[in-house]
Amino acid sequence: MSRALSNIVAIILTTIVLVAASSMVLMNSKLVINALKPRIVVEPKVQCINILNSSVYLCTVRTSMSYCGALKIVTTNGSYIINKCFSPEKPVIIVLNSKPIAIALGNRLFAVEVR
Amino acid sequence: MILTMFRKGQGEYVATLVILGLMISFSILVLEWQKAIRDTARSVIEQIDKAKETLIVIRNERGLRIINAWNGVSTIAAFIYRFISACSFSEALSSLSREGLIDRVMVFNKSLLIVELLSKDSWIKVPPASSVTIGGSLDPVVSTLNEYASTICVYTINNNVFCNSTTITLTTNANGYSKVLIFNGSLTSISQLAVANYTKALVSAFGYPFNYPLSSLPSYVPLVIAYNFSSIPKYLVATSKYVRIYVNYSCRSIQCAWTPANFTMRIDGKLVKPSYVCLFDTRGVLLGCSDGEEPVVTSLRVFVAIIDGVPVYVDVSSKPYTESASMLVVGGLSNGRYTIAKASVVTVSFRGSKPVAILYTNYSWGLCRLSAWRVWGLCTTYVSYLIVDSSTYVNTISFGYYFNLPLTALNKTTPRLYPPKAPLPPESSKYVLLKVEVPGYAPINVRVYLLNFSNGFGAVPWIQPIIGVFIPFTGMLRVEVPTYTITNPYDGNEITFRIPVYFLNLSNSYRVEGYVSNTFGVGSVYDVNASEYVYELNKLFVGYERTQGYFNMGFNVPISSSYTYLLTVVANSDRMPMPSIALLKWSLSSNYYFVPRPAA
Repeated sequence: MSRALSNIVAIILTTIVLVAASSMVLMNSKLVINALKPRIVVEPKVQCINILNSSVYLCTVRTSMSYCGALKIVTTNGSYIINKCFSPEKPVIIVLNSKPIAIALGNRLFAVEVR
Repeated sequence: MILTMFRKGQGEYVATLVILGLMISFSILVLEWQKAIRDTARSVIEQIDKAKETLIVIRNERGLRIINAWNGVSTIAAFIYRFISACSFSEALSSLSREGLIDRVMVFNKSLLIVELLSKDSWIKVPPASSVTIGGSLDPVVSTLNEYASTICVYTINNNVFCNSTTITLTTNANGYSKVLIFNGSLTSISQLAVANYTKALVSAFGYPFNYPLSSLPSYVPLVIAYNFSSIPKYLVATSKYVRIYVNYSCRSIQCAWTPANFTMRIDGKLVKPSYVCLFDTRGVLLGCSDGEEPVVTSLRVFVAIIDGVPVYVDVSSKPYTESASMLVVGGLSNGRYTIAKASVVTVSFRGSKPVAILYTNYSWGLCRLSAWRVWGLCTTYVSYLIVDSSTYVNTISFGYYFNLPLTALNKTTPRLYPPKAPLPPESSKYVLLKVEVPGYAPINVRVYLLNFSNGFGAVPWIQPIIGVFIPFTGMLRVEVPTYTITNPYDGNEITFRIPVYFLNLSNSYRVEGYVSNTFGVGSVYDVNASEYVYELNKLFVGYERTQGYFNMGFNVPISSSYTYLLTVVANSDRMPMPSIALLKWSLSSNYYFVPRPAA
């Protein structure tokens, strides 16, 4: 009887130890794996072209991943907010009457490619 | 006890769990990296596609035809319409309002631009090696604005803009040719012409012996040569060889730098880098020029032709030109025996970037004997000038002219036989008194027939003051003199000779209306290169005569004033009992003025 009891106690203790140990390993590995993951953030990409030497610019706006929300375009003549759904595949076309300088997503600022 | 338990297999169990967990984690990691790499690759491919994308936009009455000229799919997301004037812009807006289309466009008054953004559902895909026609019900805005816009461009989702050719429809077809002018040099006087054989030669009637105007070149034949003028004589002697022209040019952007580096021609194996490239429409009117000194920034790209499989575009220049420029266009065709040339010389005067006047000289050719080279050659039979001011034809005139081209470079032909010596010509019993009044544009070429010379063949005096618009005011007077006809004692054929003129008496006067009246002789008597040349060639004699004189046109008068200009021409000869007189008179009306020399 005492032998059987001691076996049960041993099994319980062993399980506790094993769970604790494996949890520690897995948690560390998750940290490592997270560090190894590619950086996936929403990055807007805006390319603009000047139209016929005028002050008008046509721009394509894409994002690195699907994103619905506001993007702020900063131009030489002020800022504009576009509230749309953006994706990497299908760009959003916008027309600006002044030269674009940068695009803001939240508090991050990105450069605009202008030709 | 625990260690005892491990020994009984628990260790393997734990290890399996850990490894399984790691495998799952790394699999997820691989998938994420795969996606990231794919996204990066797609972005790079987009950049490459963006650079490769080429669309040709051709405009006609019905709308636009967009040709995919690259190996990828283009997606059109917007149309851009540019207007050349506020007037056309306003008319376009009115028309859009009438049609109820004004809400579909964005209007930029200051830039005279209208942008039509297409909704994502309406984006137009143009697959490779295909074209789409836009207009009519497919896009009523295009149909409406096509009438008013000076330029229509398409915007693709690759962030490229492609603009249409000019509103003038060029006769371009696949592998066809159209007139493009490539020239090198500026105000070089042209004394000789080059002739080129073309691979696409046409059979043409060839007049013989004298002054048969050659049939005009079909519009699809002439290409263009223009070459370093100073090296043309060298080029002449080599024209018996086939000449092929390879034009290498590529320009994907609407901003093309027409530098010699990216526009080269290979003529007869030699690389030619023209410094100017100009485009003319089928009527010979300049559409635009570009030089190689700096990139030409313009929105108006003209599709000219496909030459040897290479599409050639010309961008209408926005660079200001401050002086006039002469250019040469040569076309050639062959009937298998003779190579015939047709050429034109164009002098363009620019005010800023705008051509304000174009002198267009057109030559046709006939066979003649050339004294300078003592060989048979081609002589021009007439020259026509077009004066264009703001693309409006002011006048068209024709007059005789010589523009000699030896035939040595061409296939030889049999010269006509002449008697050993020209006999003394008979005396003329008639004289000429001719008064001609040509109203209108002052620097006009006057076509006057000196009538009633003996034995027909009206001679043509002409004045070339038109050059005086741009270059020093020196006119040239050339008088073709009376002729006489004799019968060749050898074959009975009639031969016409001209009576040589020994001198021309020129008096030049002008009157500035209202306050000055002045007459001055610009040289009472001018010696003239007037003589009859007789040469011996293989014991046959040929006669040839030319007459010309230079005189000061006296254009030191205030050129903005209205005045009447008089020129008296007296042609005298010891073969005529009386001098022949031609009085040429023309006046300036207030509606016309000299085109001033462009500001430096």
